[in-house]
Amino acid sequence: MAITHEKMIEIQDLWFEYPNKRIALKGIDLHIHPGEKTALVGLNGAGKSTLLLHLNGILNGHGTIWIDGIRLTANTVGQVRALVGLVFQSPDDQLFSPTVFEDVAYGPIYQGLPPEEIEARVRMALNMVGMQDYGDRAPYHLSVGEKKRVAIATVLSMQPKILALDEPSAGLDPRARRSLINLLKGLPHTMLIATHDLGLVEEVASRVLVMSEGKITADGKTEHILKDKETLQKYLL
Amino acid sequence: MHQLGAQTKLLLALGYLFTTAAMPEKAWKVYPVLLILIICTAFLARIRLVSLIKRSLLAFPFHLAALPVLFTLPGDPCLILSWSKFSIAVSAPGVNRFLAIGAKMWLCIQAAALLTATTPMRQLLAAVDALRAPKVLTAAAALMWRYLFVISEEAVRLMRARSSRSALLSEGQGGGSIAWRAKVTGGMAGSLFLRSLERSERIYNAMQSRGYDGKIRTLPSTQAEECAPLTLVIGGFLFACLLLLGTLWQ
Repeated sequence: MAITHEKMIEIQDLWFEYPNKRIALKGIDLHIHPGEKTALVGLNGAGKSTLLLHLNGILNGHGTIWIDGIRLTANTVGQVRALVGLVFQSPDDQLFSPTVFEDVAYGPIYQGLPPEEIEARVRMALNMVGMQDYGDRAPYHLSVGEKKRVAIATVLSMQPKILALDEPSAGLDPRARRSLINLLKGLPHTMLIATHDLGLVEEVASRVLVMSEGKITADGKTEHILKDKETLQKYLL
Repeated sequence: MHQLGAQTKLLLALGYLFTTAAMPEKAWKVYPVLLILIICTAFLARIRLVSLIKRSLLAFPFHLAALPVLFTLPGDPCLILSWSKFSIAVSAPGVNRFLAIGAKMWLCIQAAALLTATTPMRQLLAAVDALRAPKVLTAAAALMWRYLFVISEEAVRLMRARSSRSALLSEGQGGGSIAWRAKVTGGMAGSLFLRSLERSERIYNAMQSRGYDGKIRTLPSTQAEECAPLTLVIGGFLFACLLLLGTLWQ
């Protein structure tokens, strides 16, 4: 998908404080264009996952979030969740149904689609991640790499415009990681990928945001940020 | 047995549980018949009796809950337990009821173990759903089944971590006091509970992300097979006969 100058994600002055009084986000301002693949890097505790959880209203901080022109509010949260496919770090958290098919069907069922459409979407999503023969399998019996692919299929079946991925390559062996990178490169969605894997960032993302202590401290093209030794050292990347 | 539809097996198992539970407590001549039914079914399903008996040991702790009936049911005392100035009588009707509860519980667990050994959990859940059980019940059971293995693996990892640090410097006394060990085990159980709690929050977030709004929605069930009416009628008739025999043979 070609990048346009419209804004797929727009965040203005977003603040978030956890119940233990730790301020996880400190005035985030951000916009991402349609089709743009953006990596979010930073140390543990920088606020990357917290920011992702705000994209579809799982967490609600102070500030304004627009997703594809829709302002995220209590009334629009359902619409926004159909637009943002959030893939969690641990596939065991994401895959909670007895079979792969039921897990991938979960989102479309909640969208109120007819059974034939649900089945078609499940087949399409499993095909996209190369797991078309795994519908009847129990998620528990899959390898970590296979679980990650199915976890991505669970949101692809909702046909979102944005994929928000939290540490997608964590815990993968080199072959599964390579396969995941190829998959992410081939998907046309707008992406925001929180990761520590700079190799993945280099191959998949065209833009990098560096987060530190709840703020975006650097924002630029991948080739510039990854060559900027000073920035990388400053934020211990 | 393995080819029989999950719905049919579930209904037959429920019929067996009802018959066993409703059997008069003094119908001791019928209990062996109920056991023979289990043994024959296990034989037909080619399931080793030893594995069934092992599973039925699960019922033992629950049996302890029936202990008070030994002392609380009125009737002729058959044993008097004395300790210092205190004494307590065990009544004959109490013993009879305690044994009957134990036998019924054991038979019911055998039937449940037989059902789960011959029916994949997925088919069983579909059958429960097809019998119009509340969706929240089947959803909770499905989640429990899904995460049972994840949590047990986590427990195994915790125990391995403990074992790998349970070393002795030299031969002799080691390993700490029983109280300390109990504290460590308690800490592990607490840690497992907290991890499960945190996991449940993450699962809930994942469900919300995909549209969960508090209502359970599922696809119309296509997996539950048709019931086998003849088998159900024969089973129902058999259970009714057993109940009648139990009433007459007290």
